[in-house]
Amino acid sequence: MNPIFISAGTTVIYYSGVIIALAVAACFAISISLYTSYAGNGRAMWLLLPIAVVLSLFFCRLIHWYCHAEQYKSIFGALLNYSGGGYVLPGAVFGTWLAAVIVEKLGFTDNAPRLLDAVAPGGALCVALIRLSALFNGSCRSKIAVENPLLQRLPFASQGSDGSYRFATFFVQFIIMLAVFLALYRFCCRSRSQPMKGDIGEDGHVARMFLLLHSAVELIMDSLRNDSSYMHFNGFVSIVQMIAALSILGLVIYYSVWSIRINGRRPLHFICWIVWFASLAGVGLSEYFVQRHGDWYIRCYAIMAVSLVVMCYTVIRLYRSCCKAIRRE
Amino acid sequence: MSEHMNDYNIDDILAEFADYSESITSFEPSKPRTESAKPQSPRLRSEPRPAAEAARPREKAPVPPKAEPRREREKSEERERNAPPRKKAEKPAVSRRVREVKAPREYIDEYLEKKKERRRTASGPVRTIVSLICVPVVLAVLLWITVNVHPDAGAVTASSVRKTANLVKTMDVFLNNVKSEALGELTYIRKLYTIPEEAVSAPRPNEAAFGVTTNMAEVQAVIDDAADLLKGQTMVWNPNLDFYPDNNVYYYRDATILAIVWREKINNRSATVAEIKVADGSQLRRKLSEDAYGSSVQNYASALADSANAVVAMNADFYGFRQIGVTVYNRQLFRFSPDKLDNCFINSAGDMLFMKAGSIADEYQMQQYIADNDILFSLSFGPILVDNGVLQHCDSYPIGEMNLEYSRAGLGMVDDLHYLYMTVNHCNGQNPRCNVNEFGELMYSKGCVKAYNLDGGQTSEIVFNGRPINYIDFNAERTVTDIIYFATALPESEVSR
Amino acid sequence: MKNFKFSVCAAGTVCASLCFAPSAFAQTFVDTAPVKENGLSIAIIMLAVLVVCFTAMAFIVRQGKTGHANVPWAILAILLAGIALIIAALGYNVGTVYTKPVGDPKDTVVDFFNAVKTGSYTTAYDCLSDYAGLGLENAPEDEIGEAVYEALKESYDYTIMGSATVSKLTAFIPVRVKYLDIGELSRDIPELVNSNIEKIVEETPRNQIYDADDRYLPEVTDRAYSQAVEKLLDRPEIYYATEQINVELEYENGQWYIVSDPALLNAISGGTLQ
Repeated sequence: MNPIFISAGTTVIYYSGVIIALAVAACFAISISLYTSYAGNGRAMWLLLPIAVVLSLFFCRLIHWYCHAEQYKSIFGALLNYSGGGYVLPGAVFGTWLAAVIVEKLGFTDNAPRLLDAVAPGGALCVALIRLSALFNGSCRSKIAVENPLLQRLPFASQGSDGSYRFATFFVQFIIMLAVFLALYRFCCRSRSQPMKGDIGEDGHVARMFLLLHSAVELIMDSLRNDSSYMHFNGFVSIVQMIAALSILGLVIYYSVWSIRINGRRPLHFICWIVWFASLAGVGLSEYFVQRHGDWYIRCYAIMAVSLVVMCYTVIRLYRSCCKAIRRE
Repeated sequence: MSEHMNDYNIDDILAEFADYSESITSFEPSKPRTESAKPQSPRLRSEPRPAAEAARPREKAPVPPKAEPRREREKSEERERNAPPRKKAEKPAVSRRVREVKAPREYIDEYLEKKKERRRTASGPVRTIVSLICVPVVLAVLLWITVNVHPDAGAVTASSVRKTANLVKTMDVFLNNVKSEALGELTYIRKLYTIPEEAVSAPRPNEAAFGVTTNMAEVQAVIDDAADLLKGQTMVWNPNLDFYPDNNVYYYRDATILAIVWREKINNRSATVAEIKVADGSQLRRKLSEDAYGSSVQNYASALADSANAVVAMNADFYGFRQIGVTVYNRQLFRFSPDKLDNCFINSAGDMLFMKAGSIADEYQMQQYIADNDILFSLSFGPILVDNGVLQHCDSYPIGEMNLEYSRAGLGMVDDLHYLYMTVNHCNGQNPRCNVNEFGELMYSKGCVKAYNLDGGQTSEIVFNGRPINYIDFNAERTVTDIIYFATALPESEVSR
Repeated sequence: MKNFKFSVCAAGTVCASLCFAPSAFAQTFVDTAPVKENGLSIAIIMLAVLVVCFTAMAFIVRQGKTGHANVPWAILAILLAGIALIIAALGYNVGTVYTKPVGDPKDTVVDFFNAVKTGSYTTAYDCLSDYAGLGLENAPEDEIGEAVYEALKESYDYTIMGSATVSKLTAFIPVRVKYLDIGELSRDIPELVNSNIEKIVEETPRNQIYDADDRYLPEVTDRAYSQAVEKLLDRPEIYYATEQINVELEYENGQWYIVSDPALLNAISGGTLQ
């Protein structure tokens, strides 16, 4: 499978580049659609895109350089030359957030959370299509080798650069993120008419839900990969998993604080915290065991998936405790 | 505050702000502070509303598309209004469009602050200009992404790194073998078989030459058959070792390689030993994941060994785990950070050359060293255990938990083209393991004149015919970035001879 | 809720079609069967994507009426995502769609063989895609090797037999290569060695031929061997071989490069690779 789309003279356009560009454009279009329908001005979104792309590429490449310095001649080579090398996707989340802050400071919006809410569903769609672009390179395959010829085809397996068939992690992630996009789109529309209790703002929740769901997906998918990016001090802990876990922890803290502020401390909070930490332990232990005992992957990843669903549910429950109950038609 | 009060008409301000809310029931506009109400400031009247960003679409007539959510809100507000009086602790309901009702002075302060902020932000024409610039910028960004952003597998792939071959050496070997055949009946000239440097995998070993037995006599017979290969060298293996009971001995023999693997107790440690004698230095090789330095991909050692057609393989230095050390691969220097780790270099003759940490400070000198010594690849873990027949002692080392009892792995050299792999692991969780210095003593006791410590822990593994032999920690392999292995140089076409 | 379920089902449909259609039609269960009917799989995927896109657009238009979405932009987003899916399916099955390489691949082949003939090995290596060096500048280990290598270098010649066949970024050029077949030459060595040994035995005293165990001294066998090779190299043209090689080139970074194959390397090394 040739990854080149068009080659004319010295100009080469790859399929993955085209798909990523279309993904970014689709994200922009859906974001501006949501933002302008909710009394926003499209100028903020037009300004957000280039800043977000620049910052996202910068941070994605910076993290990749940190984890895989041997692939680059120097940090400047890594940050200035984008014709090769890899990216670590969580950097894009931070880059987009920073871009929204910059757009707010420049005066194009006074509500950066609302801006991010509009971007969140598009971001999920963008991530889905970016993962699909791995069809044209050997990245984002699993450690799990697929020997059965009947399963050596999508969506089960894909051929890696070494010729072996491995579980197609990228394709599974594409499907899951597509579902996340649909869920976030629906949530974005509904959250506009969702009054909140107390002083908690109405904006920013869609972006937080994107962070929650995206982190949960990355936590398990990155564990499946055979080309994860590891921390320097510990070659067992993936940097993507760390960022994802910290993001979810941050969300738990955020919604816990607001829920207590609004509702007072209740048994619900303690239950949620206990369940959340138990789920985190489940995720951690599953990761530990699957690294030590690679042939236990089915049960480990099943436990990890269930634990992540429970983690997400506790966060959503805490969020719901900050919402006013309304009757929807 | 009083200055501002003099500048603005309070009633106008309140009236303006009242338009934001749909219901202000408890708020009563206060009387103006100053008696002489100043005329309306032209700024208030004519100053255009700030950017549409902050403006709610109140000026639009109720549009059917938004009616539904508004109806819901109105319903909920109506319910709120009709609800029984709230208790003191309960915060008043806040409609979507109304913030918490504050005292007039606070309200005015807040409003004026916002006015100031609006003045600080970009003005309308600036925003318009920036917006016009953004459209082509966005299109340019999308075009740039199309052309430039194409993440690969994250590594310098094998196809992008050009190999080097030595066709003249191949011709020399061919002529030698021609001479051997021509003079075969008159005098003995040993045939030479080499594995080309650029080959990513070795010739496939002869499956019929693999064996496993518990009969020591059978193993001895295999060794006796390889006398021609051994050229008088003494084997480390002998039938009087303290083998594990009912433990298999694995072997492989052809014209170019003899490999024997067994498990024995040494000083109450469970050691797995692989003794290998090869005919040519090209049979000691290194395999990186994806055959490229810097690949993000990790594989199981057994999978790497299988793809390389290794007879016996071992974990190497797991270079992808750290950023220090010197990494040479295919004669190229990829990483030069020599200060902390002892390094081991393998040349084309199969010799192990050691370099202490920090002994070369200059990258140019390193390149010279590689060229002068015909270095093919390096190992960068350490420390050096035995050097020139002298047991080394190490007090401290930056990696490898050297003073802990840990699973260990090492590569040693007994004689010319005669090697020893050793791992020390638990055996069913009963035996102690060893620290680095103790491991060095074990290697030395086996007759190694050179020995080098490799990555231990769950990484330590000996793979024979594609299958792990030693007791790996947690009874499961872990993925690694590289292995070293011994392979046969006998071409598959000559296997039947 | 109904709309949401429908959207999820629609997304599932497109994903399923992406998964199975190309697999089912582009690859059969038997490895030896040829890949076939790629066009059908692409058509199925495009149809599925179009159906889903139209469904999503209808949903968006309905959403637009309730004010939840800015319809034109949302439709644009759906179109862009649909195009991305179609391009992914297209690329997976078809590969490169448009190429316009610059330069004539024949020039690279001519440069390569001329460089090999004249000994400009650096230039020759620059024409190769997958090898940075072939070691041709190295010297053999012994005098016999040097003599044979010199004869091999003098034997190099080539003729381009036809025009280049260019297919996207790959080209093939038929080239007839002439070289000294060392393997063929070596077949006549044993006979000559034996006759040389006989002559040496006749002409040389016994103590200069045999050792204490009545075996030939190494000097004797070496001399016999050298004489045999030198005699054969007096008329090397007898052992010249010609081989027609379909030289493959690939277009990379704006230039054509030769992809070395075993036949080409074998010819350059005088048939010693086989």
